[in-house]
Amino acid sequence: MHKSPDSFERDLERAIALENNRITPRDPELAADRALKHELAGLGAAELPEGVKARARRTALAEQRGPWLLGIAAALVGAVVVTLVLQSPARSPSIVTPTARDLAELQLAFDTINRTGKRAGVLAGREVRESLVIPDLGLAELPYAGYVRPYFERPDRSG
Amino acid sequence: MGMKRRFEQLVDQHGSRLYQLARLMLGRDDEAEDVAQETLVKLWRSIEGLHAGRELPWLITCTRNACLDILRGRTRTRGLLQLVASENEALGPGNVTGPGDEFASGERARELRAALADMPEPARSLLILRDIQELDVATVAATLELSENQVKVYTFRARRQLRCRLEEESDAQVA
Repeated sequence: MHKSPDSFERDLERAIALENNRITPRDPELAADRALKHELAGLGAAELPEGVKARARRTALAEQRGPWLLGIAAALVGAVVVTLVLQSPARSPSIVTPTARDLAELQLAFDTINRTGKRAGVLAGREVRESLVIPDLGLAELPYAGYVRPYFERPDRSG
Repeated sequence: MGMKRRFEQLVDQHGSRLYQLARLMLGRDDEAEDVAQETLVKLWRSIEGLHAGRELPWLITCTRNACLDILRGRTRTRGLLQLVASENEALGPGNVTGPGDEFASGERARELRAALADMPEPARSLLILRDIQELDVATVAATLELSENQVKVYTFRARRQLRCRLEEESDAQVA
């Protein structure tokens, strides 16, 4: 392709002459070029296979549907979230006022745990007292010393 | 016009041309189908931004670039001799014939296609677009980013180069 400007101009003239069918008998090369041009034009068209068209259309359709489906999905999710948020105050549990019976049962439960815990502490203390050196815990300074002292006193005075 | 309708029209108008271009550049039906399909999918994705009247140069450019990528890949992974052998094999009547291709089975047509596949770029593209597909000079110039005079001169030279190759092969066979 890289030739002198003169050859470019000369070739341009010949190209135009060939396009316009202005070929003289003095130029057999140009006649041969024209013959080849006609042969190439006669190679015939190739039809795009229907399968290729169909696949391209399906891809385009799928991509077109994609955003719509996402939009519908987003709208559904949004609707569900809004519904849940609006409904949530109605579902919050109401404040229950315990009855006297409920309170009595609750107190019994606490007392049972307390007695059981104390008993467990006494029994454990009996088992380990021989082996333990009870440190001076400074119980007298504790504000709740009265509650704790019984667990560290002699068995005949605890519980 | 809706995008879908415009897309369908462009597929009907130019689909076969793109397929033929790919077939002649690659010498293989299966690869040509893949390239054509890939180009049409790209068309769908880009159609909104395509100016009316600019679709054909854009489509040809996409198709041509895809073919050149494949050809560069072939050159990288196979030796040149193996490439020539496979292209000659691929261009046999069993591979490039198809509906509407009335001259495909002729020996001369096979020779032309084989010689064309062997041409360097952009000579090969110029011959396909100007002489085979008979596209106007302005469209080819826009596609290949050449001036109209360059299209005329380079096509002229490409045709002469092809003719010389065919004559040499013919002389070699006679000898």
